[in-house]
Amino acid sequence: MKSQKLYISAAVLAALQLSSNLAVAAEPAQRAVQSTNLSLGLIASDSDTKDSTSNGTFGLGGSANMPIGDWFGASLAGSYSRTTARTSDVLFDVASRTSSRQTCRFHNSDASLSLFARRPTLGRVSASYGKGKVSSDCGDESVFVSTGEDTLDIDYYRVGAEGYLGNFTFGAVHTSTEPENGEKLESDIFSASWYPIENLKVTLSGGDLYDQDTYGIEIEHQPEFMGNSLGVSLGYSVIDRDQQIGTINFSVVFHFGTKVELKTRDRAYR
Amino acid sequence: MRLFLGEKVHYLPGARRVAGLLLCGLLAGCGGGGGGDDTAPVQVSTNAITFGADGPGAQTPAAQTVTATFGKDVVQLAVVHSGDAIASATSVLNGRTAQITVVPSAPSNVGPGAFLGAVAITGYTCADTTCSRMAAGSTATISVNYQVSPTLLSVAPYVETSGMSDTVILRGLGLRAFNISGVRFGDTAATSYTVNDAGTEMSATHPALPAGSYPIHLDSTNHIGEIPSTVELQVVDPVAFAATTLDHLPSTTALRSLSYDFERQALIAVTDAEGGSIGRYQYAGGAWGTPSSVANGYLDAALSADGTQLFAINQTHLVPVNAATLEQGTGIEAPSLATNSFLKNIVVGYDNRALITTSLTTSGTTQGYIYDPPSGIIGLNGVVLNNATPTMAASGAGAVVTQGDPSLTSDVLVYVYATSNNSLNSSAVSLRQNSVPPAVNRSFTRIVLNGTKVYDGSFNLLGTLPDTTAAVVIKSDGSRAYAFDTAAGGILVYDISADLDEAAYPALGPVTPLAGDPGTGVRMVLTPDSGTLFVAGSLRIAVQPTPAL
Repeated sequence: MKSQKLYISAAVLAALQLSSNLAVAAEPAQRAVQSTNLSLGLIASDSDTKDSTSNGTFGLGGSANMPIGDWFGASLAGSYSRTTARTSDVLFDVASRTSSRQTCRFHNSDASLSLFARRPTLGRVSASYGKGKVSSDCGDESVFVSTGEDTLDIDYYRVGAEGYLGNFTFGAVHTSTEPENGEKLESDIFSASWYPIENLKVTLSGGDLYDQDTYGIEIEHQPEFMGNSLGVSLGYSVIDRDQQIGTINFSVVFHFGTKVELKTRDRAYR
Repeated sequence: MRLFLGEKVHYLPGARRVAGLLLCGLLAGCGGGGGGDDTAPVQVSTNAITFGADGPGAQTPAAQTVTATFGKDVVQLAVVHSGDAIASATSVLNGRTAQITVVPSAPSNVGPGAFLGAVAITGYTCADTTCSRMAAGSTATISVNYQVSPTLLSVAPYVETSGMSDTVILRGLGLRAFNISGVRFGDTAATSYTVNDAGTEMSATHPALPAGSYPIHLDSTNHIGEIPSTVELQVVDPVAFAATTLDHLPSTTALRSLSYDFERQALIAVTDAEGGSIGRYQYAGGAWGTPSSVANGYLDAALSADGTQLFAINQTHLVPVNAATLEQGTGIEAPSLATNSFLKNIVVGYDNRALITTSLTTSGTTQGYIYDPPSGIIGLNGVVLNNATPTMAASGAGAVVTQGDPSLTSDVLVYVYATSNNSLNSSAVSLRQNSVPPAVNRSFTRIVLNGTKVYDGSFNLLGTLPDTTAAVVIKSDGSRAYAFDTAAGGILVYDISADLDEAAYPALGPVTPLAGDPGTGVRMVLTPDSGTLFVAGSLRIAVQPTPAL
């Protein structure tokens, strides 16, 4: 049994070495992150829950990626967004003399640090730690279930791996999220991306989000006429449950300094 | 091959096939999640609650609590509400249940009416793997119906004559908040009614009613249950007083005012006895009793709209006096009285607010007051008049106010006081008032000024009465004027229903002599049933059955 494992391991290593050598033969030596780079963007999403409220989110996000030697890299990311629920979906509007329809808003902030190892010709493995905070402003008094307050701190840990296979990238991410005073939430998301052209990526994803099926599709593009500095993505995802939640995501990201094609950016810069 | 913005597509058919197979395998492995108790929708113990209040002055109804249950996936429970019916909606969590407390708005904040509200309870879940964004789960909605009933405050006149149909004014709040489909006096429906635009007053005509007490009810097509009411109309039988005279209080040399308490069959005379006294003459058992009295420098007194009090004034104060016992309440000083001025006359409207005029010892203008009994405040009314004399219509809807002094060289405007908004507005008529107070009938369709000039409700001059008229009153329906004529030595009756184009009205029939000479400074009162005239002056009070003309 042990020898069988050794054979398999040797075969895998040989295959990796072979493909690595092939890549090296084709291109100059590459690092996990070719150079330090910075991205900043706007994020927006619109989420609609069947027979309930819909809500819109708008915010800012940014990330900085840097090499750590040839094999490793680090990524620091952060975002802030605000979500506004459309209470008109569930509350009638009234010509009120003394009151108005109440609103519900969430303020979301998030920061994370990722460390990863990558061979641009093979793939990447990563580990992340992040902290988030969500605060709510809903009605007279609405609170988070686990805290009894109108704020919720979140810690999360994430491990992920992705493999590069020609114009395809396959990924898997496991996230363990710990809401303040709440039960740990586990999720696993698998994805497959295809680059029909160097600046266009189509990603299909699916997985298990806190014991609920989720799947989605996203298209990301870097228009060449923008000098490979601007990325635009549009996606749609579904959380499949009794009250199905459909979400449209849109983002525009500006990449400072690095003017490379999308596929190269994904595999050598972030 | 260029497909997209001129960029090159590389064919890798073998790799793509492999990737597709892998992806299918990955996605196929994702199944099995979802459903179960974790994603149970938010559920509430009831989807509808109702509140009710007896009126805008009622206590706020007790809050109601609804229990909500929700699934494990809910991270945040949002409770939001809309609509005037709800003041607040708060939640207290306990595990996977929440107690939602819905507090209705204070009735005084929303006023009478039917109000709607809704409470939405939404369970928010994490929308991404790091829970950095919330997405709505299910929502449970509670509808809230809240009824604040209209309020009837008063009826004026509060006492009516049996066997006579007439129109009364009902005051209230929110009389347009519901569809009023009828008014009942006891079980007897009003023959007609109207509601003002503000929903604060109704004019309702009752048919002839026997003596008794009649709770007033409002019927509505959309009010749930009976509209609460504690207002009652008193209906009394008229008394056929015999002609007689009543002696003034000792040391009386002048009469200041005269009024009649129809409910209690009592005559109230304010005279200069003991510096200013109220004498109350009670009729009982077919005879007039010895007057009770109270002295406090009184100059005038008027019955409150509900008949419980006399609002009596002396030079500087208004004193509430019990209308039955003459027990005096605490006096309220008129603020900011002009130098050398004093309170002169008082009349009370159907809203129980009193108009008080002021006077100087010489000709000159001074500001009057409005007295508001609920607050106990006497406030300046913003209009300066010259020694003004008001007479309130029996309905309490308004008063005619004459002013001026014979020493003036030009006429001054006659004013009209409107009870509905407690305002004084000038009329189209100017004159210098004489010693004869104005007279006005109940429905304000006939007015006599200076005892001689007869006008309609729009102050069009219709005709005249003799200059020898010392006092005059008008029958409730405006058809007759009863004048005490010094030259004739008694009561003359005039048909003033017709417009004589400013000509003199001829007297109907012969003069009716009084049982005794009233003296000078005569004032007259006609009972609401128009059956008796009280004529009082410096010497005595004469009781005279109204001439049947």
